Amino acid sequence: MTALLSCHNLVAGYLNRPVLHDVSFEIDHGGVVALIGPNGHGKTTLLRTISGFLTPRDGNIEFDGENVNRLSVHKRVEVGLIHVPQGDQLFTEMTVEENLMMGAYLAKGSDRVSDRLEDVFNLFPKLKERRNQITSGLSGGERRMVGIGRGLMAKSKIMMLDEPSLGLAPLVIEQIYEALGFLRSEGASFLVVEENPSRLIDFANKLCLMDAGHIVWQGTAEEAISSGDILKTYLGGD
Amino acid sequence: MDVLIQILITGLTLGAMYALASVGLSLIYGTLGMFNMAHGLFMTLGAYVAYSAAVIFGVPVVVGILVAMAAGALIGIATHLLIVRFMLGSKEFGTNILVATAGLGILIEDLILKTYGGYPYPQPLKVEGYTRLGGVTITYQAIITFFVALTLILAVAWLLKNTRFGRAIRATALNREAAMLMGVKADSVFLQVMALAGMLAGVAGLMISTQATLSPQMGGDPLLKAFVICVVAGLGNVWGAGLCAFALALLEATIGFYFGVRFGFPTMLLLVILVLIWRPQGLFGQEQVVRL
Repeated sequence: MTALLSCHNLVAGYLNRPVLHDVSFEIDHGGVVALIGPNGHGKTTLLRTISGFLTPRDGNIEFDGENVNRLSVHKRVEVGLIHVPQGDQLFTEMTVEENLMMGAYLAKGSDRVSDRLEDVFNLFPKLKERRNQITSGLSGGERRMVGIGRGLMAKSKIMMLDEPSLGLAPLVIEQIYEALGFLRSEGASFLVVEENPSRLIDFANKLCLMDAGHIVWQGTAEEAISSGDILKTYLGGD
Repeated sequence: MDVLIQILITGLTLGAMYALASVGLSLIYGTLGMFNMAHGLFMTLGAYVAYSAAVIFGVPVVVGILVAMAAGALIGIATHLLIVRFMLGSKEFGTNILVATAGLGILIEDLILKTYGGYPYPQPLKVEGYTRLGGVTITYQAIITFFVALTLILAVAWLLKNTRFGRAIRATALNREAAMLMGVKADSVFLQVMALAGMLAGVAGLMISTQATLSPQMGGDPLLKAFVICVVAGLGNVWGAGLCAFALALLEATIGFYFGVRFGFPTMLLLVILVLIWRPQGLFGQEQVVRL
């Protein structure tokens, strides 16, 4: 079986400054890959390259058996690649529900968008209470839920999450990962970027460690724990 | 009482024309992040094309309005396809596009001058006659101007709020990259916005020409006022622009009535300076909060 998403020897970056060097990894159907590593080492750049904001200078991105290198951003959404960007990037003057409905922008008439909305509300009941509120008045955790919920509304094949725990209190991070864990148990595939791997040991089945634009180590969560030295070297702490 | 009615009528008619011009200008600024210096010439063009339709084909007023709308929409589309599209996303886009659209404005103005000459014409697409309210004369044209503008602005408001196409425009204006990540084709949104704003400008031009005359320079003054209105409202705030258009027009009418027409615009500018000292982001603009 071919992988759901795979990058082969990807080189990409801004203008004359390549940020990613020779990045290769794969995500299987139903798999969860975590990209970890310190800030400013190309994790977000990699997600932006996969979602189509940056054109790879070399290498290939394959999604669901197709080469997507040349597809524009909205085409990639159409084929089922969803990117939930860092810091939520909500439509601030729109309500929670309007934001969520934007997530289903490409849904066709026959798709049951109201069922999707109900699924998101079941996952994050708080959003149902706040459905008619403008998102700029929400708490950080609620905004994150809208961001993730908006991504779910597309019924994608894979969701790329850029630092879902960024700026949140530990208790809220717990809630977010609980919801993500539920989605995973339902068979969803993820590519998650985090600076700190502690939450990901349980959630991800593969970890990729990024340093200076290279993937310097990749392996399963168990391997990561057993070779703890590697994580320590790059991320510090314990 | 008569004085009040007179000021109200003048203000509302002026406001309707300003609103048509500034809502489009604001929509373009909000969505594409550019100030369209050619907007005044979109208005001029709408007025002249409607004039030609009336002179050559003898079209009635309703058709004339549609012709002005179509002319405005087409020049908006052409501007996007021939100029804006290639500059979007470039470094210093805001400044470059300012120069490019100013150049386009000069080009259109010269083309109009060459085609029609510099002599001011009266606009034939005009409803003659008037009615009286108390001691005040209200021309039918003023009433039509007001209701056409109101209908169009409410229609645009409804489109933006309730249709998929409108939601895509709002989403793109609020956060372009996030909208693209929802599957919105940003380039088509920009094209639609240019067409919509051009359409409003075309009608605005026709309405303005019924109140004064047709001349190649007729778009300059309304563009300046529309710009002032957009700045006071907060650049890119479409509803604020509509509201401020009426408020500033009423102010201009009041000042014009009591102190003479020549004081209307300077007072408006003075007020703008005061507003911007007090609230640099405009009355309805949001302070830019940078979140990391």
